[in-house]
Amino acid sequence: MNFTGQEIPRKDNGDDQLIPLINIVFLMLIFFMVAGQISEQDAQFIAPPESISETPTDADAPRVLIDADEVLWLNDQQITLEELEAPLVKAFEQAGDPESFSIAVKADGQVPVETLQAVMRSIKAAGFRRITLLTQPSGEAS
Amino acid sequence: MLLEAFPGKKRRGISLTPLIDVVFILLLFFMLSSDFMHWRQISLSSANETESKPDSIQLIRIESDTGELSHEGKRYALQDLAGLSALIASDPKAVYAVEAVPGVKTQTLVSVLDQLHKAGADKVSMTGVLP
Repeated sequence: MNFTGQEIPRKDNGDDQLIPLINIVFLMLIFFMVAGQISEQDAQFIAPPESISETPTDADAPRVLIDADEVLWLNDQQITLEELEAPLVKAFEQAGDPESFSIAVKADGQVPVETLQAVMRSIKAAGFRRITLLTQPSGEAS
Repeated sequence: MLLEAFPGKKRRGISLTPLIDVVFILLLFFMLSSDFMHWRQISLSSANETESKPDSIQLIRIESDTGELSHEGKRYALQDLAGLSALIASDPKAVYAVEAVPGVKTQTLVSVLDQLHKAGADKVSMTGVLP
């Protein structure tokens, strides 16, 4: 009368072997939920310049992206230097706090300074004084 | 009929497969949408400049992408923090305007700005943005 003794453990084994997997997957899930920040993806991947700056970024600032090929992007749209003014002025008109309105430039570290200066001249010509450059903390910063 | 004497033993727990499906989907979502980059910013145009007119503007030129700097004919190396500190100590109130020869990369410019800040300069700007 030991018939049942062979049936039941085999059925349980299927799920029992999954428990370590679930443990690991849960741990990874919790790690990514807690440690990562969900944020908008950029149109292009860039390697930003490293800096010792600890100033946090202004989340409301429109971001002008200059990728390694010196192509300009604004709000995931490719844009030329001449077209840059109108959307920035529009963003300024819609800004909640015009006093602290700033424009953030997100440039790849390999972009030549002339390109960066041309973009900044263009932003300045549109009448904006506060321009920031986004960086990331360097690994070997003391 | 002893086989049916303990019906409780035949009861199976909740199947884990749908749970794993959902957890995997959540995991994929968080893995793909998470961003571990901590962004910081540096100001390229000192906004306070308009409030108080700077006494003087000291022009620092980046001569090459390896970090050679020059100021009024004197040459400095980017790593030479003592030399730069001495330069800035001679006129700490001035605006230090950094200009670069063509071909210098943004990373070099940012390193120079950092180094000038470390050396004690309060106001550092790029020449293109000076009022």
